[in-house]
Amino acid sequence: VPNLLIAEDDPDIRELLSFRLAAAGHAVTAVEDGPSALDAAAEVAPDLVLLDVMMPGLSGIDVCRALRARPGTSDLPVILLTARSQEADVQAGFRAGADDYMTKPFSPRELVSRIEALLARRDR
Amino acid sequence: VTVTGALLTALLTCALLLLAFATLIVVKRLLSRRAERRALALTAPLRPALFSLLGADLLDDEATEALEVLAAVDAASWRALEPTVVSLLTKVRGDAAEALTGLLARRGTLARALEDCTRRDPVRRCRGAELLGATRARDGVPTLVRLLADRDPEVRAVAVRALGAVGDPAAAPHLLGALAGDRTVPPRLVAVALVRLCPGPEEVLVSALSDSSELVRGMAAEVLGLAGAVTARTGLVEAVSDPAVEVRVRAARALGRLGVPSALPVLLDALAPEQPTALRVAAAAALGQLGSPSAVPTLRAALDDPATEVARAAASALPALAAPGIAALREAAVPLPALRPPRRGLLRALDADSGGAEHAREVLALLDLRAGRFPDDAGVQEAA
Repeated sequence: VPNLLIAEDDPDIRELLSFRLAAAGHAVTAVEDGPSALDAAAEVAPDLVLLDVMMPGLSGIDVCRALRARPGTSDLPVILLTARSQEADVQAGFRAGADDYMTKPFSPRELVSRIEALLARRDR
Repeated sequence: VTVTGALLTALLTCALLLLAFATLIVVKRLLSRRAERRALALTAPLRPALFSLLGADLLDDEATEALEVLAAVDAASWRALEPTVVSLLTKVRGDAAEALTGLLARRGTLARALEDCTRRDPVRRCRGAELLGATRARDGVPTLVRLLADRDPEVRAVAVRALGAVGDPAAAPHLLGALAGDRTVPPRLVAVALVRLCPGPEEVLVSALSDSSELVRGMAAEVLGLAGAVTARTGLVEAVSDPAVEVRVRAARALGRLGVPSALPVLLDALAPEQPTALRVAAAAALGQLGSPSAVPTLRAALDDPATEVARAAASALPALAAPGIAALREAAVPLPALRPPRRGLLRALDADSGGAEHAREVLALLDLRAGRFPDDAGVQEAA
């Protein structure tokens, strides 16, 4: 069962994503800020990380950069989810090492599809 | 004794008042926490159904079942759940947003929002308009259009934002009209809302380029540029000759954003010395965005313009014209023979001798910095 880590400070979105991803057959660990995301990434060894960009403590971009810098998580698929949709924001996300970037408002079904596509690519 | 007694009474009264105030705060907090706990208890069993509704195909049994469960909950539970539904509506799109809107319609929330828009209390009208925007329900457009002329400026602003969120292009003429009305709306909000409606209202915006109001014409030009409306190029080229300078500036800016090659002659004319400075600045920037090397001689000449803003805009535009633009900047920055070798580098840009050379050197230095080419230490120390 793929293990997913979600870092999102909005409780409604966090719960929605956890529910939908669990319903799609994934094991989910959900945290509410950047530092907890880094701790959880070390503890649960996720197969994929979904990061909100604007989070307390550390932003999703910072977390992504830190994950890329760590030997154990440098290849981890990372998706950024954010309300910031400007070209420069998207570029900053990819420069930090994200594999995908999704803007809010988002489609939960599309997000699940993107996660599954990334996991499938990783398995290949 | 009387004075002491009066003082004591006053102190006692103050203490009692403070105590009453503190008690009031504590009670209010306790009640609020109790209400939160109650809401959580009421909504907890409903959240799985809500999240099922949000991730499933609208035609799935799962979605239908979830919708029925949520549509049938008692009034108290719905009151507790409704804020979450409305909040989620602004965070999701596609089928999920459609499902939430359907739920709100079934629970009568949309009808209540429409009703709220007619209330005497401006806060209720704002709330109603905001909810109509969040639901993106086109049924709400006529009501929101009416609120564009509301007596309260805050309500008008919320209506503008809500119309942008709904995204019905039919609202475009009303948004433009509100700009020129007696009860004005913030132009910046109107611009954002109109961009969100595009590309639907492009035709309306092109027509608005010949509106009698200068504000409307300028807004139309700006939005056409922001929305990437390349089909509007003819109208925008004509708008560069508008009687109002503000409209001409915005049209020039839009042509630059759109990168319309046929706009080259009109933008070159707009950079001529007899034109207003604001237009010349916009034209210089737009010529850079167009990227045509044939603009290099005109921009090169503008480097020595007595109007600093124009010269700076020309210098900033030249690098976008690739090698010929950079060559023109290097040529303008030339008075190097006068400079001794240690004075090379970034701080050379501070040794201004002529306006054009100074602006050219500044831009070249910035280009060097961006490319990671830093001035040598000897040059910095010498200049320091």
